Amino acid sequence: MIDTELNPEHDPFVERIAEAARRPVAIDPEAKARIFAAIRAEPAPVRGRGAWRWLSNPRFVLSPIGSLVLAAGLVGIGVFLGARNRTGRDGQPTGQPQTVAAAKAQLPVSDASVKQVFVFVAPQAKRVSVVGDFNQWDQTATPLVRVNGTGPWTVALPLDAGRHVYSFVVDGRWMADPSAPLAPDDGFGHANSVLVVTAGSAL
Amino acid sequence: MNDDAADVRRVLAGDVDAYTRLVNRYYERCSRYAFRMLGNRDDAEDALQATFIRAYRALDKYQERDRFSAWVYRILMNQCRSVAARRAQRERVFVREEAAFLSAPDQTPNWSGDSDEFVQRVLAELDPLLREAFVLKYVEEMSYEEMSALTGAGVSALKMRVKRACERLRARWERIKDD
Amino acid sequence: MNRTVRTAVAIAASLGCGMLHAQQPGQPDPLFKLDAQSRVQIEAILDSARHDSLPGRPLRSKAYEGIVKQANGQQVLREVRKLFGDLKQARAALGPAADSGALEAGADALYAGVIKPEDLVKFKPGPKTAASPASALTYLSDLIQYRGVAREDATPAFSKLWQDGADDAEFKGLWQSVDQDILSGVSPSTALQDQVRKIPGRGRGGDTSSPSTDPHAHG
Repeated sequence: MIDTELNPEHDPFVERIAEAARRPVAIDPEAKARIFAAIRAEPAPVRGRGAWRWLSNPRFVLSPIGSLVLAAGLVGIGVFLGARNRTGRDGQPTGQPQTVAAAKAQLPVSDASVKQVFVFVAPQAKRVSVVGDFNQWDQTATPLVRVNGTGPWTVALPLDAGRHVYSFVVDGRWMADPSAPLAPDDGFGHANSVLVVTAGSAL
Repeated sequence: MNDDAADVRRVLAGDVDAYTRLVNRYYERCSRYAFRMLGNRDDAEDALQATFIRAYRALDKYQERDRFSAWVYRILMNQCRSVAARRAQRERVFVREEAAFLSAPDQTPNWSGDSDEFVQRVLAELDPLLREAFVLKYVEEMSYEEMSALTGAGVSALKMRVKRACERLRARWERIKDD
Repeated sequence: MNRTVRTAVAIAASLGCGMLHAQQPGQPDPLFKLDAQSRVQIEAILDSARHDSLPGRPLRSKAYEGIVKQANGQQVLREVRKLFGDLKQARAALGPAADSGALEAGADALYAGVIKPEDLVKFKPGPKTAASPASALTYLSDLIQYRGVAREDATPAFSKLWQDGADDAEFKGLWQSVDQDILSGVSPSTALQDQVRKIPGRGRGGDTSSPSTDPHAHG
């Protein structure tokens, strides 16, 4: 008993938790099959091609359309757009499918504000909105719409220059933007996304 | 492991089935880690899929002098952190609901420590970094040096986190015993 | 035309007519959803902020945020009060030239323990720096809090870049590439070190060479 007080790591309860946690978890064969299907949909990796570098290259300027369907490659939902034959900066096809959860394009509208496009991929969702300091955290103010009833959810909104915190609400669930940095604790149990808009900028 | 390095070379030479073998070799361990860290199968599956896709895409950057398992683990760990960060609110809600559940007199949860559900509840109450350290140490049974190489945190920081995790688990047990 | 290009064209077409306005004129102030006592106290804090030349917008926004996230009056008041204190600290560290975004980013970082006040001062705007450290502080906080980069490695790297005049685009690019590396299996602090070195014209990286040994990091 004294030993466990001095060293909680040897506590029998802790050891029971550890032992139980070491047990294997039941594997869902469907889940595994989905993973293999996703892998098969990928282009084969080839040594030395460094395929994804251009995505994170800060000097890379994408067209507005290009920006819309591209994200920083961060995974939120793990959904594939299944894109092929997209052209890279030099006009050559890149043939790389993307995992896109959210993306943004910034189009200047004036010196004071920048039109911001929010994109969120959630094929199973029924309702998606973006909520943040730019719309007084009103969940009904800025719904996203889905083109053709399928594909990514989008909305365009002019934002003033400055720092904005926001989140998506997806069928009632608060979800951060996987392609944006996260703000430290909001104090209410959520993690917001952050967007810093500089006046007159274009992505 | 020689098998791993050889399979990586085969994949890069165009043999996708070699990647299937690699995934199969690590899938059970990885799904256990993801599930223990994230507490539910949907999130665990998200993290697993993202991990194995990312590892596949980054295979050309994998250096053979590293252990393949450590490399995949780091990807998995960061995916789990990423998934957990983006649903931080669920854990806090869960903890509040847990407290309500415990105080209801006719609910007698299975305190034998054997049920998966119980283990998950208890792990979910730990702060993510403490949980991660606990799982790496006691579920994955890694050495502190391995953990340090994986997380980038110092050995002393990791020892502190494991100790705190165990203290909190012990404190949890004290509260359960008294009910 | 494949499905994705069709979708992209359709999205682009909808942008012209799909714009929504952020303001909802004619709506009552959401603060009135709170109990009167909490509301009055929050409004008193907003007055103090005006008096102290601190931005009221983030405080008001924090209140609205709490309301929509279903916190009660006292919880909202507590968070607004904390933010007010943190904004004051951020102002003291960052100086009078810091804009609202910088103060907010600084306040958030202080609140979460991501940065200490004595490190926040290193992000003061100055003649050599970019206009606002809001981006730098935002990406710094994210890397420390969520991506596993040790504070001891990230803060010196970022403050040096800031003082040397790195701009928003460079910080963003750094963040994106560090995150990509981490997700590809590189250890977080190594990823930062490597990517700092790769920034064109800035690759010095001397400050990030030591691994984290602080036992209180992320405690």
